Amino acid sequence: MNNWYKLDNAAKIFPSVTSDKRTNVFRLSVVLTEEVEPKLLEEALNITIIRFPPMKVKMKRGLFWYYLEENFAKAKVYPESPHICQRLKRKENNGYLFKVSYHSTRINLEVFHSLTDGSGALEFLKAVVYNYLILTGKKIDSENLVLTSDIENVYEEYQDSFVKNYKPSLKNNKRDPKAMQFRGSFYDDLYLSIVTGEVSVKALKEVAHKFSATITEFLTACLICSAKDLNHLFRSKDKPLQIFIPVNLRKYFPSRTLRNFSLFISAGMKLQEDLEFEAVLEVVKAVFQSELQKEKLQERIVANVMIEKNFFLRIVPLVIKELVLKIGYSAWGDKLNTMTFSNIGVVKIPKGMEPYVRKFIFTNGASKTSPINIGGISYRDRMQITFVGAIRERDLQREFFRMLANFGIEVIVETNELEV
Amino acid sequence: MKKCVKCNVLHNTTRKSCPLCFEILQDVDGQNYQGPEYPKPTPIPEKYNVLLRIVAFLSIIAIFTSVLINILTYKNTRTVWSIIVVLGVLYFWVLLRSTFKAKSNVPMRLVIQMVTLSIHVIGIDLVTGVSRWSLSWSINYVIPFLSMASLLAIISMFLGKVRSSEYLLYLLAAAILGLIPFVLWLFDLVIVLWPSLAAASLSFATIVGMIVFADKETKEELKKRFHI
Repeated sequence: MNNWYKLDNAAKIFPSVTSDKRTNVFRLSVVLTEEVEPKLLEEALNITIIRFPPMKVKMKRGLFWYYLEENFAKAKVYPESPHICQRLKRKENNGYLFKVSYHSTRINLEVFHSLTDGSGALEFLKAVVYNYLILTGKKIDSENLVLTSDIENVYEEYQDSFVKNYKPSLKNNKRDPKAMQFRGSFYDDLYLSIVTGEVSVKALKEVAHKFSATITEFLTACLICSAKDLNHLFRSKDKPLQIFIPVNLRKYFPSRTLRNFSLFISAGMKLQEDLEFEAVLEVVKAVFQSELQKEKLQERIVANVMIEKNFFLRIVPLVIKELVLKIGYSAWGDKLNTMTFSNIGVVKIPKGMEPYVRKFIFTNGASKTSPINIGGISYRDRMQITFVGAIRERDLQREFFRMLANFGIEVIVETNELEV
Repeated sequence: MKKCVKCNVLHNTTRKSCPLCFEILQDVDGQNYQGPEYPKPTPIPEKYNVLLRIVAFLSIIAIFTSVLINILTYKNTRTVWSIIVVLGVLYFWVLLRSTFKAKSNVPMRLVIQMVTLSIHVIGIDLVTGVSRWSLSWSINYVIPFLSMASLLAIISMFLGKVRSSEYLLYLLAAAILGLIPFVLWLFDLVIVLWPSLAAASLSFATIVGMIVFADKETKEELKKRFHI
């Protein structure tokens, strides 16, 4: 009999609001020291996937909800496409909702957000790379930092941790305000630009500590400040610039889940030309301090799960549900943030793997309403800050990296083809 | 490694100008670009199916023309014959999009065929019937046989090599649809009993078969599809 899962709380919205222009796909890449061998990579992928039942699925339509069902087809690897984070269609790619591709020494994992969040995807990518390196004949001790196939997979790994932390008593209906939106000239063919800035974690930490802030707080403040003079990039300027920062809830609530378990906090302020960096940072720090508390986060979880538990919503057929979600999302949900800054944090891999792995890169997707997003990931002493852009304008990227340079941080920029 | 003096930022690139501010880059350490580079984008050719567009255009014009002529000559003919044209064109599109082109599975296409063809013959029957707006041959003969045919087709697929629990759902749907003519007979809408009874018996046998042979799978499939 086939195994099947309901979509987790965060995943439920994505299939209904996904289109070619809003793909809800993000990408994690790893750059190795040696050229990637596609055949071995495919073999490694198919070995790894057995250990990750929540990834070994295809999506199906039910009468009331979508659901995930075990997928028995072979997972394939593809040469990397210049068009990143494209929509993963249900009926293509053997039904899998992730796509592994390679180019030269790079391996990319693109994941549809209904499957898992950044942390879950990173666990999966680490395991794929580990198995790949083993297949190429390397001897590596996993140091229990990788989910290898000999570690038992437990039910907690495919649990919906949102529902698990649902306590109806913690109700709080706080609504986020609408945010300022980007405008610009969009690339053709849904092309996305990548601008990655590599910085030293140590240098970044030193500067951030000077302001007694964490790296994420510091970078968030930098993002807001670098946008302050870019009037031509925004419309609805009376609204605040809001940055969504996904929070990995596994750090706050005990959970082993490999599915979605993160939610956004929102930091931002109205832009003025005379904004001081210190003042912005204070606002950001205050938001982080008040929002990143267990009770506050749980209140948000409860609010989200409560929607799902609504009886009337549940018995509405999926066709109508989708229509309502689509309209509601574009009218309201899509306008709450100007951009998203997602910092995955430090990647820990076994010592034996390190000589073969040069860097990790995390690339967010982008959409018509959120055309510029930022992803951060650190490995050893190097942090990769990646801007993904659906629009040709890259003033924000320029101002941001100039600002880091002004703080005395050395930045090495790499891009894909930008003049398309 | 190259450097942009204006941005004060290093660039690992083969570009001549700074990607952020377009200032000409300066070489700093003589080291070449360290890959891996990103694959070069090529424009995606636009999909433009001329034939499909011509057929779509002709379909709309055909519907428009026949409805128009029907309205203008209604006084003389007293029949709404354009319904046949409209249903014919719509059925043709279902055939084109669902039956020949879709990636969905065969039982589902059979069920769709069964439903759309039934609607089609009901339409023709309504317009051409002896006494106006009454159904005769369509629900008495065509629809029962149609449902039996598609049900038998799905069953034979099931007995063959394909044995996916997903197909159970369409088998069930086809079986339930096959009961409809008999139910209509109970309400005196169907006059000739034997085709409807045959279809209903086949449906009944199918449902019993599903309960006896695949109770677990059917239950599980229904649970998946209908979970709230």
